[in-house]
Amino acid sequence: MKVANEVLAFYTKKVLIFAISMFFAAGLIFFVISLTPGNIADIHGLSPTTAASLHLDKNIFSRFLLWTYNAFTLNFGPSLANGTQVTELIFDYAPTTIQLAIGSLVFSLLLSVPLAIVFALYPHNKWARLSSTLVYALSSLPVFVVAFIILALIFNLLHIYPLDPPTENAPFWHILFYQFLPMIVLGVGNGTLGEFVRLLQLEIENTNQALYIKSARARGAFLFPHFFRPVLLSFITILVSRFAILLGGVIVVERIFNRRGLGWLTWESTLNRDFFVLMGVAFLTVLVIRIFILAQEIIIYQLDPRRR
Amino acid sequence: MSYLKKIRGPGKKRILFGFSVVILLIFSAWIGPHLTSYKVDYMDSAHIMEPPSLPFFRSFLVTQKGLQNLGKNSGQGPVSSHTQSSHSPVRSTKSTQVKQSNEYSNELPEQLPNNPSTSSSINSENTLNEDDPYAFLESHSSPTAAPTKQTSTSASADSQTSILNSFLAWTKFFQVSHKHYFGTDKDGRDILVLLLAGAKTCLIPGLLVCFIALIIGVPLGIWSGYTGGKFAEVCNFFASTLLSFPQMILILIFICALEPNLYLIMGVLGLTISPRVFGVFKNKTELLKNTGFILAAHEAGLSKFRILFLHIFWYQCRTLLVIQFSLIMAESILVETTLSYLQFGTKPPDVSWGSIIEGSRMAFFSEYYWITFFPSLAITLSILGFYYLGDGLNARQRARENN
Amino acid sequence: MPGRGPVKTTEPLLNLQNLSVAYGAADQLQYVVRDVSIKVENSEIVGLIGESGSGKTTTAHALLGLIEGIPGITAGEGVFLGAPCLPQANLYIQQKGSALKKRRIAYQSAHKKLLKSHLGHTLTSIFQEPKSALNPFWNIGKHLLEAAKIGLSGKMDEDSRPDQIQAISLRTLASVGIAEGESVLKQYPHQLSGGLAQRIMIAMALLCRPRLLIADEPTTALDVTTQAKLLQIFTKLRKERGTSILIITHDIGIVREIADRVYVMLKGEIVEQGPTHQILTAPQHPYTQKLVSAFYRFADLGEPND
Repeated sequence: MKVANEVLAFYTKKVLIFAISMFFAAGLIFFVISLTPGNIADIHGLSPTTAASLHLDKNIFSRFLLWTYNAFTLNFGPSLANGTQVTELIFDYAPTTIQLAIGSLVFSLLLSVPLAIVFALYPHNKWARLSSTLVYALSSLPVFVVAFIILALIFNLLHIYPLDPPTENAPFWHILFYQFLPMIVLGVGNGTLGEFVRLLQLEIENTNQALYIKSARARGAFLFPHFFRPVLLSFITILVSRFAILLGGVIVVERIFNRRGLGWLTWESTLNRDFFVLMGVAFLTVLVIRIFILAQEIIIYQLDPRRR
Repeated sequence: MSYLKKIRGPGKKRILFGFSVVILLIFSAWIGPHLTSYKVDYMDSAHIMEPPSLPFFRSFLVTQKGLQNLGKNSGQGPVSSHTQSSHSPVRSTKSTQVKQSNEYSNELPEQLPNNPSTSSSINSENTLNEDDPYAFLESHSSPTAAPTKQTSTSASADSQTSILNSFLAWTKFFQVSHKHYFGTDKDGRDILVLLLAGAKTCLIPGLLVCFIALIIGVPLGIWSGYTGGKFAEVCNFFASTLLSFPQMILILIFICALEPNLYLIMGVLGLTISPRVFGVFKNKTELLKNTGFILAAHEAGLSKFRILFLHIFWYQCRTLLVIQFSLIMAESILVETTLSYLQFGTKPPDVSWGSIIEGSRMAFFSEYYWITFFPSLAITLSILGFYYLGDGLNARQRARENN
Repeated sequence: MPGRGPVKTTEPLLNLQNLSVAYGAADQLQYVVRDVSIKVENSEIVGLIGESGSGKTTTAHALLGLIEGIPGITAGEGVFLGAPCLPQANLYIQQKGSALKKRRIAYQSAHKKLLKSHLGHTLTSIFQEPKSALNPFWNIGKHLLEAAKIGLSGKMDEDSRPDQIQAISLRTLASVGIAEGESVLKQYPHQLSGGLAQRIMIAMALLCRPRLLIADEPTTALDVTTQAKLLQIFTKLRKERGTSILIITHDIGIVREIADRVYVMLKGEIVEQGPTHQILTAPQHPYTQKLVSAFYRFADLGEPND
């Protein structure tokens, strides 16, 4: 019973923190938007009836409560630029971004695990050192510089122009590049790949120094099962912690490659000062990230016996 | 200098590289623009989209065949014959080619002056002030069509051949020949000057970011690491809430609400980086809290403030501060260039490397590679410089701790 | 009984000659172990005494192939169960940089190949911090399963079935004095006490019926009563299964209790060796004399028994 109580306490605490921090996040978003000088209705030239229907005439606290209440039911109001509901807009544009984000994460993780293993196993090898410098250097660049490097290489070496959508008879490479180039660029740039490789490598090296690995070696045991669990745990931690930064790079990637996704929507609505869309996208993004963080904490709690 | 020789052990190469990049950046930001012959806002309309005059970069152009094929597919870059001949034919072919390009036509000036008369009118309109002692250099070796005038130094052509003037002309090495070493962009601005001026836009906002992030993160981190308990929990809560915002989204919300003022944005960026700094210093203080000498200091009756400030912060966390400073600088340059690329950063006349790249986005795939290449190179060098500086110091610190 | 040497067969179980281990650059070599020769016969308990930093742990690690530094093992020949267990270490300490690293990597892989058939079967080891030496993410049952899979593979094939392995694990746990084996199998290392963890490590080391057990400071992290129990287990091992044990410790009391022969190490070299009785009553080297007199001064026991 005691163990069950502890588990219950843990989960309750986590869910409570989740709810309260979402409330604070909504508060931050709303507070920043409310710093707009002037009246939202006046900026967009809305008629008084429209403004009243959007509750723009009420005072700030009731507006905040109304917005937060609606936000938790995923109703963010209409887009001030073209009138469609923000939720509809987001669901229209989300698939591209989800595909991009997941694809880039998968690519980055698939590439980083072998790289981390090689860099950890062969620290003195000349080629390993050279490629690790290259990986860290390339990865710490902003996304658009990485995009330009890769595009320049493809352009100069292969004479291919992969930025257009492929037509009916497009060759195989065109389709391939068109689909995967944004994911590759997003997975490499802004420090994503470099952080993954560095943290995984650090985890492998730290585990290697531990006494239980030494004693496993002395027993003649296979080392891979011993490394699996700690590396997996740090894997999950890094994944979740880089996800927020990944979503920041999505905006630039969608602009470079001319995709219409949530990043493009965010940029457009910032230009048009479309507040509701921006608030909706921000709230949803924070919600998704906090869900991921919650999932990570639960998984680590279940998988790591030391926490219990 | 002696400190540089004392750097030993792991990370030495990285620290030296980073340090030299930082020195180069500071130099280019403040002294660089004075050493070049052009000023930042001087638009050399006769030299629009001119390729770099350094011999290595002149030959480093995209192959022409691929361009011709691409011109059919996408209507992107202009179809050109060749660009590697001497100055004047280049300029004339450039002006005609540029008119033919589809994507670029609405961004270029409609009239491209190509005769000496217009060029001299440009000279009279240029923005150099009259009391500039080197103004006579401009008026005499004008950047016009005749190639012979290019190589003549002003000192010999002018009647005022005083020793002072020739000495000044000799010291101003870069000003003698008036070539665009790195080429020009679509407005005619010299790329080299833009690079040097953009260094300031990297450094000063970066300093602001570092300042804010460290001011918020370090005291809170050290205090909550030392005190623990409710205060640390509350700080952790706010830090994790802030960390669940993507940086870009928060910055875009601020831009949407208020003016896209660069300093405001950098303040917000500092705010988003501060949770990480908070975490680093909190961990370090928690590690130090239970070490022998801190416990002894506590027992000896030193005041909390003295322990925290002197023993923990000044003696132990100083290196950590420098490391975080350089890493935050690297990140701020990254975000700042990204924002300028998204057209939210600096407004003209302030220059930023990201905005140069943004303005030339479509030109990259024609033979105007230099507009994107040199700013990208500058961005790469500066980010890597700060990053490797922090990384090298980190490696050195870890090696010292392990011993 | 300690003091009475076992019957000597023709070949010793382990014959280590002139082992040297060094770290550092070629012009600043620091020898951690210099010219150490150790012999262990069948069914013999040998003690290796020294203070911390005398190189005894490094000797054990060298035998097990765990040396990671540069250049590492610079010289030495070892024969274990009739076959060499240390590769030829040509003196390559004069080489520098990448050539040195290449030789070292080649040496390490040759060493691993030589030891592959022994580690976990005939040559096992236990370490100083028992709770850290167990994988914190695995429960004890999984540890014993792994040890059984390695140790019993090729010996008794019908014993590879899971229930057989379970039975063997419980039997081994009982033999080291752990009563409720079933509940222990489900626990994790951080939930155990130090003595229990060390006994589990011994159980893992014994599952495969080794010929030589290297015990690196097995009792240092434990309290005195648990120490006594462990020493009982060691003597039982030697008597019932004929396992030889190489005990590395800084505690003369342990050596006095169970060791047949003792080697004394100081700063990487063996300064004295011989039967326990002789070392304790008539130490020759000044360092050994200091050690023995310090022990007896604190223990206030006078002469050892028999």
